[in-house]
Amino acid sequence: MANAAEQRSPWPAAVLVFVVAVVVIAALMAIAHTTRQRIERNEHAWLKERLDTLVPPTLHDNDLLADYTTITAPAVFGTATPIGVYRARRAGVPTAAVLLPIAPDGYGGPIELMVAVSANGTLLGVQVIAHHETPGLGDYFERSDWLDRFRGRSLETPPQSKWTVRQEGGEFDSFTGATVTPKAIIKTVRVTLEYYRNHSEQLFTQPIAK
Amino acid sequence: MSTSLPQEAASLSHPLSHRWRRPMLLLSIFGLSSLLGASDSAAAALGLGVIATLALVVVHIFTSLLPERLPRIARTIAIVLIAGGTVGALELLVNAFWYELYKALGLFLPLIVVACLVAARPEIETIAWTPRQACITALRMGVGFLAIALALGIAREIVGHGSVFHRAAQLLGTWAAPLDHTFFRPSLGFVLAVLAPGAFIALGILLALYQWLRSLTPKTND
Repeated sequence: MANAAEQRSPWPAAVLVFVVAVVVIAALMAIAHTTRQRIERNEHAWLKERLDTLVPPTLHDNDLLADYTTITAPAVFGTATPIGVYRARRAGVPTAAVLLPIAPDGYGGPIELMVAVSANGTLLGVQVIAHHETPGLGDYFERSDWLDRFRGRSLETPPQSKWTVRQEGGEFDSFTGATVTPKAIIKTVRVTLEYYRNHSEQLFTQPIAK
Repeated sequence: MSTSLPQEAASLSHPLSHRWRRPMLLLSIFGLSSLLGASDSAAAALGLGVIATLALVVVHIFTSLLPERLPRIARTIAIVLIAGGTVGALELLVNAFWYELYKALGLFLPLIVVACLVAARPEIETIAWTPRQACITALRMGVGFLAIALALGIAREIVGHGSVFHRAAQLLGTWAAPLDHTFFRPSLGFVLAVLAPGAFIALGILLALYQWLRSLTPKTND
């Protein structure tokens, strides 16, 4: 039975497979085309929601999503990937910047952060955008207010030697059973603040990037 | 050239059909990967289960429309194309309409294609179904998949985090908000349950429970 099918000319089968391929590709292209705008809008809305919780709307009158640039400082951040920066201005005067550094030394891989710094160098807030930390241990920040403790801190509060977890004489609590993750986040936030202090002028004058 | 092709096609399909059986066994284990991976929370498990059911139904209906007497190799290629296309399309749609769910499922969403291929195996073996039969078969499989995913998800989330359907409103839509319950603080949870080994342990317990229940009921049918 199966043999008989295989002995016949292969062309009808080949043509059928080809037709199936063309139909599948065409359907996928049509769906990709119709959903593209919506997906882009989703991504923008997702970003905007996070930016709005970090930078209060009273602090700026420009569109944060449009005022975007990138910086590359592998020596500072430990990654060659360009780091995104959203800039907040009111009446043209810089009020805050939201940097998107990546903590390279997370327990399960890089941790993508969102660090909002006001013009005077104090932290407006920190969020984790993407991570691969152990569920239930390293992702403690997702189900607690741990990240809120960064708000209002700067390079002076606490001084640099205290910018680490409590076990190492620092000012920050670590998670039960996980110190690598909080250490990686704390370090990257501090490094970001240092970068901001040294480069804030350049950060706000840099042209807009895609 | 066209005269040598039948020979080629025949020699291609025979060793393949022979080798096909063993990897299939392995493949059926991979079919579980998305089920196990996304079952660390009840909301994600419910989302994945529904998407998988949809994928199974669509794939089965389209494969049942393929001509009956098709060489096996052609059937296999066509089914792989259909499964890949269906899951790809679903991925785009979830990305567009359930963005939070899309982000929560991550890699486990495209992995549904493996479950689809495992489920479509009888179709590859050229069992011809009518679209209606195919649809019913796929629905039964999908609901089974959904039930297991949901059972694992609820059990693992309660043990691991002390909650059920946490963030369900964000992931699935506002209708799911009343499902969200917290029983105790996450820090009191037994973390192992939400880690990868916890998925296998939970599946083992579920299988043991199933076997035990089966042994209790006298064999009437099947």
